[in-house]
Amino acid sequence: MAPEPRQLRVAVAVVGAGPAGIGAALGLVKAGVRDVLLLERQAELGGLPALCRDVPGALASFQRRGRARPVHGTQLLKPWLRALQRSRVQVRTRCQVLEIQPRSMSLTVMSAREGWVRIQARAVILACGARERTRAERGWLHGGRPAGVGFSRHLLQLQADGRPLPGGRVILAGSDEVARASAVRLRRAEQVVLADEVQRPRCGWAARVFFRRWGKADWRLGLGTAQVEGTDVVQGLRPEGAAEIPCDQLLLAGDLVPCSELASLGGLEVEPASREPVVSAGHRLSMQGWYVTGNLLGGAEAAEHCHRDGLGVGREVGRSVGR
Amino acid sequence: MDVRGSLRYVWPGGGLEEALQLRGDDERVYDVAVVGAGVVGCALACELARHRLRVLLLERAFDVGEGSSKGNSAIVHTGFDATPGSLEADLVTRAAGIWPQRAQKLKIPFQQTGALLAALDEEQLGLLEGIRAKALENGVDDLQLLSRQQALQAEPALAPGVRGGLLVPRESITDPFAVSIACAELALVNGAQIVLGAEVTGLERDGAEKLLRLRSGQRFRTRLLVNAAGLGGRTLADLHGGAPFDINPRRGQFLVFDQSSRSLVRRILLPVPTPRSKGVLCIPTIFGNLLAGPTAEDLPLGSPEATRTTREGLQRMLDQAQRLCPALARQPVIAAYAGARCHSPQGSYQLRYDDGWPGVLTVAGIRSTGLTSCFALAEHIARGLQRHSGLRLEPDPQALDERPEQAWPGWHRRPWERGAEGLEVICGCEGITRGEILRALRAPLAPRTLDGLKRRTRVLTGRCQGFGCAVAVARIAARRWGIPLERVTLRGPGSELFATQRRTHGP
Repeated sequence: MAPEPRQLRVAVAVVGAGPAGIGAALGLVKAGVRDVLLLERQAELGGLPALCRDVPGALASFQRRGRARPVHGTQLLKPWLRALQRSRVQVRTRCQVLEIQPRSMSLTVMSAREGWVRIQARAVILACGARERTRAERGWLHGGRPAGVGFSRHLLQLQADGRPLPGGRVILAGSDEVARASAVRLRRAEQVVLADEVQRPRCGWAARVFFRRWGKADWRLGLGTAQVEGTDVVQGLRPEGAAEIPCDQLLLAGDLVPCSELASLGGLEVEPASREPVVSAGHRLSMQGWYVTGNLLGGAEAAEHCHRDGLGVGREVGRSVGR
Repeated sequence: MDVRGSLRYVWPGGGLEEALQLRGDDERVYDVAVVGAGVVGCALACELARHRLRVLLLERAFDVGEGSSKGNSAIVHTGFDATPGSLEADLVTRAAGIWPQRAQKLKIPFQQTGALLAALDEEQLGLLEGIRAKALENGVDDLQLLSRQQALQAEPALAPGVRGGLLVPRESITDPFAVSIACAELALVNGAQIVLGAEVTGLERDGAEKLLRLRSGQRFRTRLLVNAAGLGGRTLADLHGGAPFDINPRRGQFLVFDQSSRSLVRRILLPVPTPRSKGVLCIPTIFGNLLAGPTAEDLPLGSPEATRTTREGLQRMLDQAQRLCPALARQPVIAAYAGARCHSPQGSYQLRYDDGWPGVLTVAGIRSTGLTSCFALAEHIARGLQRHSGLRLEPDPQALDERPEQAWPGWHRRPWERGAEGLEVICGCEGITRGEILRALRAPLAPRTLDGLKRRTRVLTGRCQGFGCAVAVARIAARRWGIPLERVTLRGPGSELFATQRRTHGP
């Protein structure tokens, strides 16, 4: 039993070590802040790009500024992680922030190594990123809850582990860049169908051109609502008034929503519909000393963009906090 | 905990280690075989196992509480609105009294939130006094009539047009999954044999004994047989020529709101039941969420639709819930589910002793109040079997009557109160650590499916619904179970999470 938390005091804490969080930490260091703490809940730094490894079958789909050739996520991360290593940023992995207390400028953290820790900071930058919307959040997928319904992110985790990907008939619920990238990842499968409630795909023409080089995915758009069929395991998707699309795996893909719950449960203002934190100039949240960066702001920006956003916020916060 | 019983599975396909597989026929003669491990079957097995009896619990699914018992509103009723004089009213009111102590002993989370019946028009307001009188008849004497102001003060999120209310202070909420799990686990510890994946498809009589045959061929011998198979009860009753009764699933669809919505209400909000409908409730959950539901849609027996949600059903339900609590319209929904209650047109709580054959008891039509009544029902059945079927109830001095302190589910306490082992948070939404997952996997009634692990720990139930942790949790479970990740199933063989396995081994 640990009745009292360990106390830790830092100048600035950054929550989340994805591209944006790493950027923010580096930005703070560049602005001269010495005492920066970077918290990450996974064992590894890097967020989503860390899952996009250079393994057989994986797709190089990250763009580096000013370069024509796409790279793997881990290649994109390499220089950032090296810079982080050379800096004096304190990095703590396997640390989950459970609650924030914006008024007292503190964080309640569960650390795999140290247990319950309370962190006090003069400023906090939230870089928790975004996640794929669940079935209920999408609102158009009803029916049963059989096995074989997952998220497209799980493909990355399987692939990073060197495990086989689903190879039969897969339906990807979604039509944005993330869904298209997933379709390419599944290019060895028997059949991949991109299905969405809306009539027009949610991704722009540039992405369409980029992914068309690999993909041969089928499209089923404008479904309205659809029933998930299957009792033990998913057997298909039946749009209202149309024939069932058979499948043996259904993956919810893309359609990102900001992970703003930490902020909203802590009392920071969050837009109820979009779940984007309410931000004023300079990525400031509704209470003093709290900032936000990366895809937590909303949208599904690329890693490099998030990283630069983080760098900018880090520098600015660094200037206002002082050394 | 010293486990005296055993847990076996009928698990085809090789996704399970030898030691847990059921092999061949069981030569023992059981005193009582209970078919169906829902709340009723598990509570009964737990009650019987306290005595010097050989108890067998058979379940078709691959975990306990997989049928009607998992998809309900998680309310522990006081019985205030039951039909006075009925067996149901008697059992529910009796159970309400023993719940707090039983929950403490079995380590089932339980919270007395109270409930508020809100009258939204003059007609409903006029019904409140009658409901109070009925409650008095049932022995529930602490109901309070509230004025409009009092009701709004008690529950500020109520519709501003509310006319008055009736407060039921002792209505409570619980963890519905924990009830089956805790009861089955205690039964197991006290010597019961539990077989999962065991569908009974054949029954024979051999003198005073009954021979049960599973679909997979194995046979069991028992003196007494209790049919607590819920929605499967009709099919089983046909095997022993039981008296005719009908049964069908009554679907209830629910929406789960995020933890941020929990502060909207303090108590369970109910509409005043009218002759036309019982209405849609707004229920705080013990896990810190908020529920709206249920619908009541009668479906034919065997319909696969019984546990599926529909757009129209959810929309209609939400419209009704918003009449009670308008703020629900703006709350984030994290999941939708549908549960199938056992509905029998011949009435609820039918207990038929010597049904068809002597020594066979059919328990039918245990509707949604079964979650509340199960403890009292189990005692009632045990005494009934003693009276009708000559069962000898001698208490077993070795039997335990409580689960150990560490059996409390992890989420029930804040992470830092739970000891120092395995502090890495795996499920960020619910704050569930690796240590808690491992502890659930090492418990006497350890789950073998991901849904089973979910019901014990709350992984995969948070706002991200497994986006973040599904693979990590499956990895931990696979390592513990000694199987590759691709063999991890949601609800038993044939429900693998990823299609890679299905493709190589499927038809």
